[in-house]
Amino acid sequence: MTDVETRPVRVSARRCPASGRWQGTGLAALLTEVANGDRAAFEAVYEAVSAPVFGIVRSVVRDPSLSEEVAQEVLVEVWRTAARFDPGRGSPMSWVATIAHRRAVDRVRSEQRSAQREHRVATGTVPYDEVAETALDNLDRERVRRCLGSLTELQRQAVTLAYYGGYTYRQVAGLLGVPAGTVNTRMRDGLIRLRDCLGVGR
Amino acid sequence: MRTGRAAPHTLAGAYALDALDGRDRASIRRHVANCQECAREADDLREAAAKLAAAVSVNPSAAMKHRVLAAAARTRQLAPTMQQPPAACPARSGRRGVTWWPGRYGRAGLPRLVTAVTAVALVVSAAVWLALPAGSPSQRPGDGHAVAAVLNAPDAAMLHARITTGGTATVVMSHHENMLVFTAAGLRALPGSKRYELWLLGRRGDRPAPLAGPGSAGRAGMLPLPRRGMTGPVAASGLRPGDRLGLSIEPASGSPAPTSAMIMVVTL
Repeated sequence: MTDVETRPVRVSARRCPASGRWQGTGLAALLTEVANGDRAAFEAVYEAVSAPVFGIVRSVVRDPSLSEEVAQEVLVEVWRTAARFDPGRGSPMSWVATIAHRRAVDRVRSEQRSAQREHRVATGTVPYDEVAETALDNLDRERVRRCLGSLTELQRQAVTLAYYGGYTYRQVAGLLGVPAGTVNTRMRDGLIRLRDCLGVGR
Repeated sequence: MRTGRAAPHTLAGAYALDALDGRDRASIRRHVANCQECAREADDLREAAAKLAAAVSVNPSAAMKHRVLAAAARTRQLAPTMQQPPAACPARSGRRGVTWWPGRYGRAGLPRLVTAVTAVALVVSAAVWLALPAGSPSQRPGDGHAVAAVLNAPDAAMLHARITTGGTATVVMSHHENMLVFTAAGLRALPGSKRYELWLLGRRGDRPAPLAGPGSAGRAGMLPLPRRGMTGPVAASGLRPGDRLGLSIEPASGSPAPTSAMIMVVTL
């Protein structure tokens, strides 16, 4: 007997009995179909992840046309490597966001940074708040904003400069004028606080 | 401004934020490969970082979608690897391969909302169904209870599947209750000599799904006659590990084993 149609188009979250963690199985199930070469499933995945992918890439890369190019690469990478997604280890969105963010920072770092970026680093006028302002306007965003607000100022700056700005912790240390070790600690503490506030992780 | 080497375990946050340059990244990768707890922590932190990405969502242009789909069609995919890392909670189905650095599953806000909305929708539709006059004399008093037990189970999860001859199926599955609820809409009308029959497809053979529910015909596997293309909800019990749910078109008298190809198969 062959499977005629096994593609769930939307699956609710379920709780893993072993860990008690919630799992968004809809996207995970779709990714397994994508791994089997199902283009319709990939289109559904595209619909679900393209906005966060494009958003984070644009936030880091800034240049609109380059952002589209990078986001496009990321989404094709999702198609190409779908078989490597391991649902036992993380949410599909985390997997995709990881690919997107890493690709974006790799791109801006390999571009040796434009004069404008160098200038921003030099003067410390990095528009991370601008990024956050233009972007945060729905429920999920409101929650993230609230949780970012629960961080200390230094934690928040360290996390947002690194994630939205794509800077290394050494660059962040330079921007904020604090030791690199302190930045590391604040990034970790800030993310832990964010994780707990957002209710992700264990 | 280089300030010397940082101890790898202090870099978990920077690592999750991709804020490490090449040397530091290599260093923590080596560290994490030998430290399960560190790997877990970094996974968790990545999950939090992914929320930051979701918070800056921006819809790309429609043209980009066409370009991506076209590029995907030209791109050869990686085959799954045979290695399987220890997974605390593996998916029920599907391939698993080695991911170099995924995040962990998080409590995704949207899926939870979707669950709530769809669960409410199902409960409402079930309630409407239950309020209808009994469609069949074989309806038993406990029928509605089985449906309610599945819908209210703590692990109730919803799946949608397409039926190849037309229509869509909605399945709510509870491994905890060992039962599922099946409904379908948009079904093609069948001649009087045919009926839709629901199957549990298992390792030890296929069997008609034992059904309970408003209007269930009392015979295992036989779905209530569709009205305006819709049938169910019916509850199917007696699920065994590894079972899949199948649907086929059978003679109206019912078949003890499928006599035609499945028009839907759902991995549970």
